[in-house]
Amino acid sequence: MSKFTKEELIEGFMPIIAMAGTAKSIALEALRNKDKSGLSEAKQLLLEAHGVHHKYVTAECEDDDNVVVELNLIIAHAEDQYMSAETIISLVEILLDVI
Amino acid sequence: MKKILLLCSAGMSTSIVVKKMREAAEKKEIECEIEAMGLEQFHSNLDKYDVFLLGPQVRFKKDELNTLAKEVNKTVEVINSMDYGMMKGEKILDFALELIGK
Repeated sequence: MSKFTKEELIEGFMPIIAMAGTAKSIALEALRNKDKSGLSEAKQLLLEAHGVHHKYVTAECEDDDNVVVELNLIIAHAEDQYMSAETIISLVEILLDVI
Repeated sequence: MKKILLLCSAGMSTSIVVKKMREAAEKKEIECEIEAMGLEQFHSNLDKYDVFLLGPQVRFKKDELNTLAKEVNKTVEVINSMDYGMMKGEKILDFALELIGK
């Protein structure tokens, strides 16, 4: 597999930022409103973001010799958004059960 | 000249969207100033811009910021998540200009 260009990576990772970011916002709104109903949408978005992410991880893993995905700040930012969305959704889910 | 400010958690992914919006504005020959900043810079820039757009990752802040903006007859809106992810500069620019026009 040939190396992704920076432009391709930005086009690929921006949707992850958008989806994970929306998921995080939905979870925080759910907590503020004490309403769990939005959480399934948040989880669905995170799953879609994961799908895109998975595509790049697989591409990177399949090639032992070359760097297919060269890291840049946008990728780091997407990872950061994804991770915090995941953490926040899990926390909000528990918080809404106990409060 | 119309002034648009995009806000997200660090102003990072938003800068890419800003770049695309500037390109669209240039193409359409619309004179405007578009910047990206982190959320914490909202208050100090409230009087400097005409409209404020939030990235989907800070959507949960909209009501709080919009209340402050309304006091000075300005608007805070959230960028459509799909448009943001696909970096649709022209669509987001049109959205911003429409909000200023209101």
